[in-house]
Amino acid sequence: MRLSDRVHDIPLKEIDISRFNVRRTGTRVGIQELAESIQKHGLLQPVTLRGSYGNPPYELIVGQRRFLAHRVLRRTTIRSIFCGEVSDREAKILSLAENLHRLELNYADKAEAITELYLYYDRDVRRVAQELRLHTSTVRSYVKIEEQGTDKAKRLLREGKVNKTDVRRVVDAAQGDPAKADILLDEMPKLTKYEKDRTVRYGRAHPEASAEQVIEEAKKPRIETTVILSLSKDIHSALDRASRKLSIDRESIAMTALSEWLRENGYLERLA
Amino acid sequence: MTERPQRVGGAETRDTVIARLIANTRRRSRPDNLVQIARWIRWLEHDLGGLNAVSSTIGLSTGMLQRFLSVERLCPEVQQLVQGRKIDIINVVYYISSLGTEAQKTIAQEVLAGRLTAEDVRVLAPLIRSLPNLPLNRLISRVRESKDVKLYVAYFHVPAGSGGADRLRSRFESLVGSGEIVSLTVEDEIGSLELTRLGHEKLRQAARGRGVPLRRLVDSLVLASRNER
Repeated sequence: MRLSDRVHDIPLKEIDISRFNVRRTGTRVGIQELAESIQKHGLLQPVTLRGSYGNPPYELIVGQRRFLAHRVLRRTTIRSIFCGEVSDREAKILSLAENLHRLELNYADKAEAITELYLYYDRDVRRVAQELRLHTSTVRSYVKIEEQGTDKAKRLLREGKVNKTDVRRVVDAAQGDPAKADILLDEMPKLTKYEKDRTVRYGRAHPEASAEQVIEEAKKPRIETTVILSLSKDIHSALDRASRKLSIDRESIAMTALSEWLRENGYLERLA
Repeated sequence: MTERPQRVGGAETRDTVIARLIANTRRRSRPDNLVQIARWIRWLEHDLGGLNAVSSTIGLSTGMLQRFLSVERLCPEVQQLVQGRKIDIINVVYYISSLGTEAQKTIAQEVLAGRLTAEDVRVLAPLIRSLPNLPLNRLISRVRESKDVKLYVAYFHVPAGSGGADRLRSRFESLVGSGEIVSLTVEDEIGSLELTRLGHEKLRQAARGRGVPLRRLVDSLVLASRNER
């Protein structure tokens, strides 16, 4: 699908909002501000229409809010480009790709559209990511929530009462147990990020643990001990040289050397 | 420091602002303070007609531009600290900016005193919103206490007859402060000192300040405690 470079002034009455426009919610939010900006600076980016110039009516694929702002301003025409006779699927991809890179599209719209494309492409995350110019991990995270999130989690997410990161944490920590996931989700707002991270680590490592146990363990800070070694000057510079040559930090090299010596001399158990 | 470019209206001025913004947003060390950067972003936004245009001109996402602009939501007292570069981390500014004036001031003081890191502020901000009924100081403590604890341990030789652990402890305290020593024990002539991260830094600083390796500094403290008798 290729967008034309030519910009046309198209009468508003010849344009219908496409049913494939992925923006379903919040379309009216901020329209007045956008109208004021257009009034002041003009329309910087033309909207995208389906079809070809000279054959109205046209379908608006990208730029719904700009179009509505023009209506508020009682403009009769809007600057537009054409994407040709694209398929319904391509129209949806265009709309989604455009909107995903803006901040305003909310979770529900994104999740619905990404999941739909994911199913269309036979669960091929890479393909969806490629089409939408998104990172695969982003697509995976939406899909993971849609596939493994509980109904409660998805509902709260759509209502904006929890965030995507917390839902993903809960999915990871509950290890496929929906009842546990819902209890953990209720606890999430009361935990600090440090505790949330430990919730995931402990939940993953102990799938048999109850939600209460996971929370209790997550609240206990881990103690990480670093032994301060005083090294002679020559060992110090040797370590520096090795670190530079191997591109490994000095601590890791020292740790490896130390554990190898302890193992060889029978002070540390050999790994199975 | 100039608040606006010297020459306003010409192409050169726009180029100057773009250059300043690129220099301030692409490098690890920023030449200007965050208040100044936000002013330039606003100037360019006005000049180019929108944040999207600024974003594509200087190659920074609108989300990141919004982060820089969050400095505008700071109360005057905290903004002054940012202007003086006492607080100079964009994430600290961004997360503080969403809070009320009193919370902004308290957290800024904690950051200045080194009691909260940028990561702690990031953790604290959503907690304040989700637990609005808890006093701020309690939330700050919650964040601090929930962090994984990093301890630094030094082992050293304590010859027989070198005072006791208490005497040795007071020697170390004089360098790192009492709050930074988690424990100090002496057993079979082996001393074991557990320090917080800050304590470890202070001990290293003390060694650097005296121009000696850490080991020699520790040995000298042991010797001094022995001679105290």
